[in-house]
Amino acid sequence: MSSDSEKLAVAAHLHVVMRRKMGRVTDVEWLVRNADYAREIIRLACQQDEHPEVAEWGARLGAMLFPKAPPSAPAPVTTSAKAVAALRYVGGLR
Amino acid sequence: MPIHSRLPAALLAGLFAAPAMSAEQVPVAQVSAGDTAWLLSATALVLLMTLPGLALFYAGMVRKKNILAVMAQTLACAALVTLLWFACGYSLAFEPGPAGLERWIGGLGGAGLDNVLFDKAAGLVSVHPLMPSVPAAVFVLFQLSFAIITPCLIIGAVAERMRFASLLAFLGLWSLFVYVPVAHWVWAPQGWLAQLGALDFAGGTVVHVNAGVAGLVAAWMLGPRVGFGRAALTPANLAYTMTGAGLLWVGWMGFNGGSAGAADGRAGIAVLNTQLGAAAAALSWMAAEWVTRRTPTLLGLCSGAVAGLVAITPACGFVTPASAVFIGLVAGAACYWGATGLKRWLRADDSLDVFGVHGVGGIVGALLTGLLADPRVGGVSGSLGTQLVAVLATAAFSAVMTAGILLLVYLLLGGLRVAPAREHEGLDLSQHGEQVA
Repeated sequence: MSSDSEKLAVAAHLHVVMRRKMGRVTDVEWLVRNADYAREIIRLACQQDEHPEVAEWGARLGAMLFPKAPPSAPAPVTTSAKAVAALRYVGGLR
Repeated sequence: MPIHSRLPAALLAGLFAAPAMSAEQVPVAQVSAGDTAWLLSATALVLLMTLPGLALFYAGMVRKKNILAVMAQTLACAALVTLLWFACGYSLAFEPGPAGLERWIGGLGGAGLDNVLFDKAAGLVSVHPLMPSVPAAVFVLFQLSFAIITPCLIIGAVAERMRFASLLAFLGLWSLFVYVPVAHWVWAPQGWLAQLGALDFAGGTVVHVNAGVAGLVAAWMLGPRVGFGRAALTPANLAYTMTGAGLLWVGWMGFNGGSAGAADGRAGIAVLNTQLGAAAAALSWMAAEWVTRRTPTLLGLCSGAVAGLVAITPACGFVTPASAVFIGLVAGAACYWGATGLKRWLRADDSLDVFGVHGVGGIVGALLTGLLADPRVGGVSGSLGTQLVAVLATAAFSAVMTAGILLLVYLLLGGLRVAPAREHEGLDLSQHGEQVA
């Protein structure tokens, strides 16, 4: 389990590369505090195949904030499922 | 004159000769109307597998900006191979070769399809010894549909990054210098693998191992797509893929059933085995995915069905229905591993998993044919050793020739890939000036 400072560090990296590569400004604090906001930003980052660095940091933050749930846990829906679906296409199709 | 300077003339004379096993003319009444009708239908089904089956199957898996490119590549490849088949491909694959080389390559006695005739006035029609109850024209066309789909399969491995001109040059040369010789080895009666006793009813080795290995080598030589392994390369529309997979599944009935060469009991068992193999593999892949990832996906079901169709291809005219189910179950799980674990281990960006599905499926099918061939079905027993030789020979030849041809195309055309900026833009716009809205 990652500490809050580690999460903040990765969120800050993502913030920087998104601003540099895409001109998009994010809220680093809010990325760590608000799951819905984080999922949406991670989903957006993972779709940036023109900017692999953005996608890479997005995937890293996604893995840190939303580690895979144990089999018995109920699957969250909508935005989290979309983020997971986007992550499955990193490095492979199937 | 030294012997080596006489060789080209002797070789050419042999290439253009027409010995005993070439197409011959027979009275029209000797042709079976039932067999001809079935082979014509089977040919249409196999063409449907490529256009639009494979085109849709692939188009759904690439990103939106490359949908039209992969479709254009498939269509252009089909047209190019058709003319190459007419010019000399068919002849080099299925006409007898020059003395001393007949085990390795056919001759040019049928170049331009000069010996494929229908003389209405005389009541004569050409037939080929491999399918003597149908006109040679139908045999040529049926075999052409196989020659078309094989190089088209490779497109999936190099999707989203290869220059259109380089791809066409590569596929044209690959068709002549890789597909044609391997088809001769396995299917021509004089071919060395046919004489060795290798079993390949409808193309597990000739089509799928051949294309799968070529795809892997080509993917490795081209290098990965921009962003591969770091960004999500999300498929455009898996509904296209499902439509394509459905067309492939239905068309495969002609692919395998037509390979019986007649509308008979063996064609019937081949079609039944095809359905059973596809169904078993679809469920097997789904189960493997469900267990390991907790999500049974549509793409997994489609991929599993295709994996089963691939694996049952060499076996369908040699095995019982129970064996077909077993082959499907093994192929589904094996190809799931091929497209996931093995893919990660190989570290090649085989964009649409041509090796994982066709290469692995073809190898599984070829080897299991050696184990499970039942003499009551096909009249022969299999040999695992012989099947292994056929797989290894085909894979090695395909790998070496594919690398050589790509190198040649690279040198002749000055590159294989589009520039990174063009790749970002998408091949639809950068190569074809079109786009999906």
